[in-house]
Amino acid sequence: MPESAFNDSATGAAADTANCFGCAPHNPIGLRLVFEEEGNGFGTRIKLGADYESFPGVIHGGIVAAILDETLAQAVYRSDRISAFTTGLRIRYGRPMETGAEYTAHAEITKRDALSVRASGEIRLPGGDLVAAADGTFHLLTDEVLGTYDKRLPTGLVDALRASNRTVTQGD
Amino acid sequence: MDTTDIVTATDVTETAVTETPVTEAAGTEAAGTGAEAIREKICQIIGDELDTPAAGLTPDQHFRSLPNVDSMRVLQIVLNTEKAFDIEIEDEVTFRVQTIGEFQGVVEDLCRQKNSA
Repeated sequence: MPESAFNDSATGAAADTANCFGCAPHNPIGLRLVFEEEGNGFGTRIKLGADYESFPGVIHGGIVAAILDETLAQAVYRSDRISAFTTGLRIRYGRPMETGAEYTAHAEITKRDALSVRASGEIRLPGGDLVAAADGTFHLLTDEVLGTYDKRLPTGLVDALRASNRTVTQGD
Repeated sequence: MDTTDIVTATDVTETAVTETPVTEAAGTEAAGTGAEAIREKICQIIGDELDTPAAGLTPDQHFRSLPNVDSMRVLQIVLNTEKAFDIEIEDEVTFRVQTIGEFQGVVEDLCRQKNSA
């Protein structure tokens, strides 16, 4: 969930309740990814420690997937400021991601229609070698769609998703 | 890790999404799909990624014997091929395929299936 979903619309300041594992700066075990616009998409830098290991010195494959899911989701959300849920995610791994090493991640939109968006993304070494790649499908949570979810999702979640749609964040 | 191993990939089960007419991102024109055009394009993709002349690549060459090959470059070759032909290559293919010719055959089959769909 983009941290901007919890922005105070009057002040533009992020609420302290933002807790996204991928991007919230205050989640104590989160990845705390920070995204910037890059070319046709969005990117981030990553360097993770042993807390995210599987084998010694190797970042858990599920964490690699989480990095890519977050990067794709950010590209989807920031392109049109509409919340979305991941409905499908394919990850392919080129080599292990190592603890203590620096990487970059980048994602772009590849297809879009009224209901869904497809995006693809990659994690690379600083020299450009491909570490992992992802293709994802995201279900757009427009206000109309959220209206059909009223009884299937917690009220607080629906309200937060509505609030994040079209929110202009500080610095935009 | 043996850098010439074909990658191990994890598939996440996808939930089917009903697609309405889509707007595709620019720059996704598929390469020509005649057999010869496919072979030439694949050799170009492999040559570009491995920094080796495409003209020197032959169908009987094993991927493991190619210069500069490692699992990252193999993944990049697969991704570039998918983009060039607008196809999706299953992960198990990377385990099954040994030679350039076998890879070309997989791509030809996928293009044929796509064109007949």
